[in-house]
Amino acid sequence: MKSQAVVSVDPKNARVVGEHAYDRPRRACRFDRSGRFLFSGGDDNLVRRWDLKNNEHETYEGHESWVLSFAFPSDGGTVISGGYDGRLLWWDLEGPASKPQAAVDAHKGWIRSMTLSPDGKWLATCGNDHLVKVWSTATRELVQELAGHTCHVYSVAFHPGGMSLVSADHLGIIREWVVTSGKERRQLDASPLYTWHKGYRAAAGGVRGLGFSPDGRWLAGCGLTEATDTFGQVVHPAVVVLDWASGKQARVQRSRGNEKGVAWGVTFHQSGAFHAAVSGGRDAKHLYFLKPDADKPFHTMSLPSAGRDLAMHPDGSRIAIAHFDNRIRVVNLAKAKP
Amino acid sequence: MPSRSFTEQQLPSRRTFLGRVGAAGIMGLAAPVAAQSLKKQQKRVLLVFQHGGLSQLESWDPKPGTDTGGPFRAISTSQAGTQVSELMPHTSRQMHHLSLLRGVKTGDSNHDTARVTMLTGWRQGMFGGEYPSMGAVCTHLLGDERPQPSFVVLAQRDQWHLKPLLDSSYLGPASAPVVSFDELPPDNSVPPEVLTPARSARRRGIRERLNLRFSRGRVSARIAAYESSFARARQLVAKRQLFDVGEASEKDRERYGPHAFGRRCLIARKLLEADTTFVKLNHGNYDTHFENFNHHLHRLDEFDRPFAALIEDLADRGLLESTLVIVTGEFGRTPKLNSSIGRDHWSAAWSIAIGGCGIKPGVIHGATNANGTEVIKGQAKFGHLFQTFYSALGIDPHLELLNGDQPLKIAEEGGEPIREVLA
Repeated sequence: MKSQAVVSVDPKNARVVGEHAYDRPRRACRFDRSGRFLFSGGDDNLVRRWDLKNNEHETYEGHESWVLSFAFPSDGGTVISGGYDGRLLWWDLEGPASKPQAAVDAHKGWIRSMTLSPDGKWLATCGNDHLVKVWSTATRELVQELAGHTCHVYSVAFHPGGMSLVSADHLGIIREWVVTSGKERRQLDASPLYTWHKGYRAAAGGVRGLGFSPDGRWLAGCGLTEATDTFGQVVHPAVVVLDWASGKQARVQRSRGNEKGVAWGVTFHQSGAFHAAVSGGRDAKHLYFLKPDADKPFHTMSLPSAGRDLAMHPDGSRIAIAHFDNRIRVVNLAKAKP
Repeated sequence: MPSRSFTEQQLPSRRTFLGRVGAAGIMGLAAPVAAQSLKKQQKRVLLVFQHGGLSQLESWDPKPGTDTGGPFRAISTSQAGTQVSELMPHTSRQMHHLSLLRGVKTGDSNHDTARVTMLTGWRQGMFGGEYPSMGAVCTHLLGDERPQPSFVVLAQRDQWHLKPLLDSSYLGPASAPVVSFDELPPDNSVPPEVLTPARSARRRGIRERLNLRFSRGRVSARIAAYESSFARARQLVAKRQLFDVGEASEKDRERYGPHAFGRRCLIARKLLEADTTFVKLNHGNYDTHFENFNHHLHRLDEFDRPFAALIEDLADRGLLESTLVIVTGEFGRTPKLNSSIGRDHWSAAWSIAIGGCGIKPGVIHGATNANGTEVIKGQAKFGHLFQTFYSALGIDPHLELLNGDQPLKIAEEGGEPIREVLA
């Protein structure tokens, strides 16, 4: 499937243009490759499909826990969902909801994230068993098991060049793996996204989302920082931007306000001009637009409810956001017509 | 030392106090024969206190698939018909030793006051003073004169919720706990090098002679308390190896896991094997207003394996029959999630696990509705809980102890023991 032409956008013109309410909080959302379908998961153990073209909805039943990750193989006819039940389920993308085509017990414990390689051959998953796993999308068989993380692995992403896979964990450690060999090449530091609270003897942190710039120059990881009260949620949304070539932190990006919450997801726009992050928490409910070379957002949009995840439409014109108030909202970024 | 309204002469030592208990039959106090009988039975208590408030939905009363249930599944256990959260796979294999109270409704969702109540059996300030903790009461009534600590708290030094747990109140220092922080022997339990055993004995002899001379013609509980404190300190120094888990076998280390709580559980096992009357084992913090599920993943990962190993070992050693096990915190957590994926304080419908001495195993008493928001059967309030705990130990829950001349019941009334769980 050809990649879609990227629409010219102006984040300062961002506005909610559509929403749909479900009966449980939403935790994750992704557009399919065509941009027609918007899939979401949440507290109901279900996979929900919103057909944006016809405004129709389908519900896929099969997981035994929350569903927080999706991938769309290049065949264009399948969606893969990953659940907190540790299972990967393959479904028909378009037709009426039916039983899964296939199921794989992929991880012991939660699957927290998954992503496809740029060429579509490999599916990478990660989870609470401290492992990163690479699967063949053609055969659905396990190809590599990448061990090294010492705690829950929160996020995975492929570099646009296709030769590297990165995985990021609870401690803010990002590991780069060579796709062809499965060897660890280096570690990158996103530790500002981790805090140990001595009084509570509890940690708060984790790289909740990862995103590469289209040119592969920047890697952004999001989460929370400066957690002075990990249980009372005196924590702040943050994005750590890393220079991919050097592996060094370029900056830790914070909001302009002092809102408390977590940056749950981050994604680059296809133009490479900016990246967006969504926050949710005690009083954080914002969509931030940032540039890799600046410490603060160049634009912040307040949201009606705490965000939990975001996804960029394939043509770059819209961002979908999963919300705590049971809703999926679609934010249009297109420039206003003169 | 908290402020007290009674005079020095009113402060009872344990021996003096037991005498008073014996003399006070008209006030409904225990007879001395009963008190001595209790001590001979060598009953013990293991109180596992989960600071901050464990979520009942992620532990003893899972509600998977509901709007409140969260992402974790329920798993079957060694007790047919009982399910617990998948976060406790090891504990699930010991559930035939335990019973569950799933209808606990205590009505206090404040950390400080609920903690006092769940440790003393009394709501704070009910008589204008402080009540002794259950550990102090049990030490007083069940402990004997063996040369070892009777009441031990195994805690984390940097947990600040300690103060109410230390208080033996009017029962005096003889019933106060020895505290082991961070899996180490109690502070100052290693004599300085200059204080050789011979020198120490000489000093003790001088002090005892002076005390004896001073106490002639005086009736002073405080003198007895001082003597008791010195005796307890000597016991502690002599028994400090009880707090050393360095000798634990490789197998035990593996079974109890790598976390600090596992080492605390191993110490608890040694203490209970040595007939320590009351062991309070702290674990926390569970105050998960933010990211309840991630925090419970970590907390229960620490808790599950060593707790299960401890229950298994107590059962295998035949100690469970004489050891009452109580697993509780201040309260539970809200079924409804907040916007921070957290659960807040909740005392309207939560769960406690109990087992061992005097408890029928494998019972589920009480129930909550489908999504855990209210008790629908077998409601248990504070009064029911402590009436049950003391009854399981063979202690009359209506027993009164003397605060000076003031008789005070050992637990707040307002409920009967829960007969369904009593053996």
